[in-house]
Amino acid sequence: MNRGLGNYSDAIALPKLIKLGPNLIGAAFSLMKLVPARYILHKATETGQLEAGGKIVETTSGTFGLALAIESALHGWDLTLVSDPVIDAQFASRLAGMGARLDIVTEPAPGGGYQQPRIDRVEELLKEYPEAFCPQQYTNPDNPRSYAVVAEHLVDSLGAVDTLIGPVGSGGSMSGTARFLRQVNSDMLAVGVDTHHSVIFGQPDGPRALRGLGNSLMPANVDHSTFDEVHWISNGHAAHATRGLHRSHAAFMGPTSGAAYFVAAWHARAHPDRLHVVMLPDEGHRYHATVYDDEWFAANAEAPPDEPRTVGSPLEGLRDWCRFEWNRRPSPAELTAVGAAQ
Amino acid sequence: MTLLAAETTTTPRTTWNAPDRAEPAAPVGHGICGGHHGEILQGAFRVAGEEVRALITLPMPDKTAEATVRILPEPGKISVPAGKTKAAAAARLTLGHLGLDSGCEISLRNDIPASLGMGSSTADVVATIRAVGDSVGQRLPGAVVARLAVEAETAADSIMYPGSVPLFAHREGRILETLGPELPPLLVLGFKLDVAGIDTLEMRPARYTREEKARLGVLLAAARHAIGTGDPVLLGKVASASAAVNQRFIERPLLPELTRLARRAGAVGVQIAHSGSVAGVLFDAREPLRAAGAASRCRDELSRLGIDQAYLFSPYENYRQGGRQ
Repeated sequence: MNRGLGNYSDAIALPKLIKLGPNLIGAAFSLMKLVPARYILHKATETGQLEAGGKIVETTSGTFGLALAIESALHGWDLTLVSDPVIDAQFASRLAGMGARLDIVTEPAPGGGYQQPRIDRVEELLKEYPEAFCPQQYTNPDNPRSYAVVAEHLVDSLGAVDTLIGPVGSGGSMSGTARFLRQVNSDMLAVGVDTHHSVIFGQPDGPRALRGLGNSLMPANVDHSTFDEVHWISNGHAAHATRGLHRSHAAFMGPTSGAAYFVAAWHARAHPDRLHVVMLPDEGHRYHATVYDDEWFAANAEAPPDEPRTVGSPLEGLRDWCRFEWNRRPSPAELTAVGAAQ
Repeated sequence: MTLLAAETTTTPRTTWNAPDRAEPAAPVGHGICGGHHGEILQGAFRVAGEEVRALITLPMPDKTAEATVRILPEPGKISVPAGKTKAAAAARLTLGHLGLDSGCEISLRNDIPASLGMGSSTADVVATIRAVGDSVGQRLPGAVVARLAVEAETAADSIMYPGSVPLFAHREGRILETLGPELPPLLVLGFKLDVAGIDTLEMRPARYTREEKARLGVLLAAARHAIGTGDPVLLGKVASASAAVNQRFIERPLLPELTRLARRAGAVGVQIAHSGSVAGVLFDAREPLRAAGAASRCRDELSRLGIDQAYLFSPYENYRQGGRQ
């Protein structure tokens, strides 16, 4: 990544490294999704898939959309983000303020949910504008690959890392960062943080209150063989941990960061001889009305227990803070046998 | 810590190119240059937005080339031992650089094995350049020596920079970054691999994939940290990983077996001359006796693989002594 003076995105793309404990370092991103957005769009310009002033189309209502909007504003690309009515007004206005076009799908799928209608709308747009570029963060192998710069930054500052902890959503950040960090420490442990009713590590799909991690579809970019261990955290516990991170370390981060920090702090206490790094993907600004609102907090947050419950299989109905030894299984398909055996 | 290459020389700047100072102070000059044992890391790296091929060399200071140059009055007349045409080119370029309208006679002594990728011909070239400089009382800065050496040879190593560990763009002859004053304490058990030496100039540059370039970037960061903090364990991992990335271009069939053997012996890594035919097992020399013991057991294991001529050396000693000129 450019070490000289650069634009807004250049300046904030790499995480700040924060000491959160004697053996725990937080990699605090302003906006982690800038890492894949920059790499994917830069490559598209190199390969000619994206030209000066060219069109970009993507489905997202989250931080990847914000990262694409920042890059598009800085490079003059014409960005259309396909989203749904759930998108919050402040976030939508921030995107629009940088010139991004929002294409809101209004009809949910017959079974409910907007994911499929959004994907269909992107297909429509790509048919209409065949020259448009679609970054596809869930399937594009350049998403995990882009995290080499994060691994570089970590290794440059810290040397070999013993344990990496982070939330898992598209799979890019954890699978990519761990793969590159393992080049200089093949024994490094990777601990994924997920939430209840997410399919990523084999649970049945269901409503998820904690957003920004987990998924109801399996992203191709999750490399399951990365993970030694998986934790599931509830929205209430994540909110509590996020406020705790803010109070004790002054780090103003979002709830996925809180969830990851909570698991990381437990790990670091349990293994004082190992150097832990926790990925903290975004800042708290989008969560003023939720996690950082006292009324919301009183109604939703819940103090987590001191210890997780170690489960024999993620196929059990998980509710509380659970931990499972994933042992670098290549896919959740292998869980059935394990679960049945226990 | 990152230093800009252009600002980094190991000798003080002088007004070396002022023609009125280039009057021969003595008709004879002397130069010396150490050899090396291939690379710790080699690849393509992104530097200031540009992709550059570069390497970190493992010096081997106990093998050297020495040149003695006698300035001759006849312009353009260069006399060298048979087969030392690169040294002749280097002398011609250096005379031109110094604005000297004369010729020279060069004698060379070199105990660096040739054609093994140990910098034997570069050491001839560098020693000759230093000797020509010395003949007019000048100690040429590393950056000038590097530029002249690359012009004489096309590709070169970074052995002209004693007292620093550079990330060196070997095809351009410039330092991209100075990684530190010295390598972490290492003991190297080196040996010849049973493969033909590779002509550095004939070899086409490796075409790295995006994934390989991403990996190389992380290895460079790890080398920077290892050299900055004096961590031989981390640097050993860099060397092993670099050998593995480059395996696709210059296959060393023995590498997997060597890696296992090194692990068993308690070594910190395996190092391969990327464009040569020597390799080394690297030991943490912070505890010298322990390192020597482990290396000795490793030597026995190597002989079971049919490698009998292993030798020990320390690249670190070189730096501690402030290098050689």
